[in-house]
Amino acid sequence: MVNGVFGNPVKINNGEVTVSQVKVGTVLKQFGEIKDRTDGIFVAITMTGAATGPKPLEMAAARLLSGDVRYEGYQLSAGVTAQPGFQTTVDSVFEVDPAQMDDLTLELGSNEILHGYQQRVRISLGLRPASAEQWRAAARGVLEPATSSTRAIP
Amino acid sequence: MRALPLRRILFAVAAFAAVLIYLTWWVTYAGIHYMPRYRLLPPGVSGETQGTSVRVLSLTRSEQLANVGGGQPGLPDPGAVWIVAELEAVRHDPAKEFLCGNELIGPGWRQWPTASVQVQRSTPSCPLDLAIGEPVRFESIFMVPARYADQLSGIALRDDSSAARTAVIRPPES
Repeated sequence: MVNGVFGNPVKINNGEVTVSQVKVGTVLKQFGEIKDRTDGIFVAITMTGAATGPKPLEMAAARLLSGDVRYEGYQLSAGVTAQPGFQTTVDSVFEVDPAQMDDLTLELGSNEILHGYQQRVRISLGLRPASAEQWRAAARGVLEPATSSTRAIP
Repeated sequence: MRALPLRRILFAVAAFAAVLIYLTWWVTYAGIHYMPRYRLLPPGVSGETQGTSVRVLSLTRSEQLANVGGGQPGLPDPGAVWIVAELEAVRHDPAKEFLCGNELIGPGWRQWPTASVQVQRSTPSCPLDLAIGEPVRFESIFMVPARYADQLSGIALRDDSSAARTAVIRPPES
């Protein structure tokens, strides 16, 4: 397990990952249409995966952790992957309970049958502790995740 | 003190040996099937995969892909270029089917899969149900970072069902 810091690249097998932004909302909008609403909070995490080495970067499995609580991605593919020499930026969406989001931490890894073989990374999102009501108030509004984008590593 | 019976010791040794043989077999099998091993063929020479001979006719670098449908040309991601491989396949084994598992091989054995493109092309990307003995031309399109575009090794004819080394075919020297 590799521990990273929000905003800084974290080196892992076959590349590096950077978490750069966290956005929240209660209404999810995608491709110009309202897709879903929640009594909790939608959290979109902007992350960039760069395959800096000769092998593809495969961190397709993502989840959010808050103590013993685990939130799986709202969409099937929540993580990030990149071919050699490329970097991909995605907004990964999670639906969380505002009463259970202390020390929210992103965990990234590859999809594998046997856990523990591949390296995983944990990055604390550095959110300030707040009550559920404060989170609900802060998240009120529409969240529109950006579509994924890929470019060659500069 | 009572001595351990010989039969019990032999049983333990046999069980340990069986586990060791199984682990050795599994590590060897996994190494052969899941870690790519390549065989670089001379320029212009055909490679064999899935009962089919495949050769590279040309490997072309391009900043955009022509769209025969009349729409906008296909543009690569920023900092990348298209690599278009024109290939010819001749199927000679009716019991096997060519599935176009092509990958572009670059420096340090970097591999890039074929790209999904949004343009209409004049040459098919993957011919299915090839007639026996009849040469068919097709193309594979890849997107690679521009800085690697001049360091390519060739096209790997990937076949995960085979334990043989993956043939890497190259265009003829001009």
